[in-house]
Amino acid sequence: MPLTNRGHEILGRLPTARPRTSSGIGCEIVRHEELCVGCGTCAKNCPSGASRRGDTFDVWQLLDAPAGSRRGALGAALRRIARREPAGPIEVPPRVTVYRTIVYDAELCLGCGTCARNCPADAIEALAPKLSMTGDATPTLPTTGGGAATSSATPNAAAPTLAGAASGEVTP
Amino acid sequence: MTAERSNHDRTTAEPSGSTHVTGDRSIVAFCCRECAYAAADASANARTSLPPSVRLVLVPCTGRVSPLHLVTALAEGADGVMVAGCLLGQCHYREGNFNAVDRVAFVQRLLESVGVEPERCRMFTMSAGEPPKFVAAVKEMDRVIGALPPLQRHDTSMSEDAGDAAEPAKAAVRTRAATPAKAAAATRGAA
Ligand code: SF4
Ligand code: SF4
Repeated sequence: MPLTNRGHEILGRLPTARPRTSSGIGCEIVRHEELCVGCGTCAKNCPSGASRRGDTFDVWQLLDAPAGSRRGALGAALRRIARREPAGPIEVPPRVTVYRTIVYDAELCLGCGTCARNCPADAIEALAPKLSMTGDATPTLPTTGGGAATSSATPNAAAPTLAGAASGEVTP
Repeated sequence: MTAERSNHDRTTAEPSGSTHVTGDRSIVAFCCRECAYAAADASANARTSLPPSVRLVLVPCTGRVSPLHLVTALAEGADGVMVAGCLLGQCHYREGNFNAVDRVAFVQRLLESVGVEPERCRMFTMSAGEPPKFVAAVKEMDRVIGALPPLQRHDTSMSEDAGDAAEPAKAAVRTRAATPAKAAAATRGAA
């Protein structure tokens, strides 16, 4: 459920709550591009825009796709007639939606794991959160931009829970 | 009905094949039922001969043709594939042929990226009332493919490859291409 203006105002008054900066406490996302079938479910469900369909396609995704899958069949056929290795990603015409490499931006990622839960091909792994709170909490604050003056050192212990709760609210 | 018609196509097309030598190239034409196949039908009824290299595949709409069909046809023996659909904007299913145009463009880029001539895959559009246009499209495709060397395939022609000039490059592709797949499979197995 999206936050109302009032909700945003209250969030802003909380000393350390920054809904989009919880990457330090979220899951670590590992993508296995060769397993991806290009359905776009991860991009559709991603609450932060960290995963989205790109404009290009990496042909190695076809060549490395597992046998037995549709992409694997296409890759095998391509391999039979290939004369050289693909040099780089290819541009994709607008109406081709499936053969697009998903762009994943770790900076935007919340680590919510929605993409991994919804991926039909198990191409995304959500690894357990890295809980190095004590060291990480202070460096993340300045990078969020406009960390309130009150959040100097006192809410260190409270920061993860607050941020976690906030992101839990913001992400539907 | 359609089976009879395609037999009819073949019987009219084959006698002309014996008269002029076209080598043993083959072209697969995916033809939309609403237009290109009807045009082919009409051209056959008019006793127009098609190049003997062409094999017609009836599809309900060119929007049904996926990159997998096109590349598989090339890998399994076709030297060229063509998609023949309705004029743009006249698709009987609204926009199937627009999808086909983009998929053909995608397959062309795919082929180019692995070093295969993109001309081996082409899209043509025509209406059902234009049999000459269909015949011209097939002849054009036959001419382009005839000017290209036969498409080499890796696993079927391994023994012939030994004396082939293109052999070292192909071997390099095959071995180097095989490695990342194996590595990926290994990591998957471990994970
Ligand atoms: S973990 Fe969440 S935020 Fe990150 S890419 Fe997946 S869905 Fe998007
Ligand atoms: S949900 Fe999985 S299979 Fe679908 S596009 Fe995303 S990574 Fe690929």
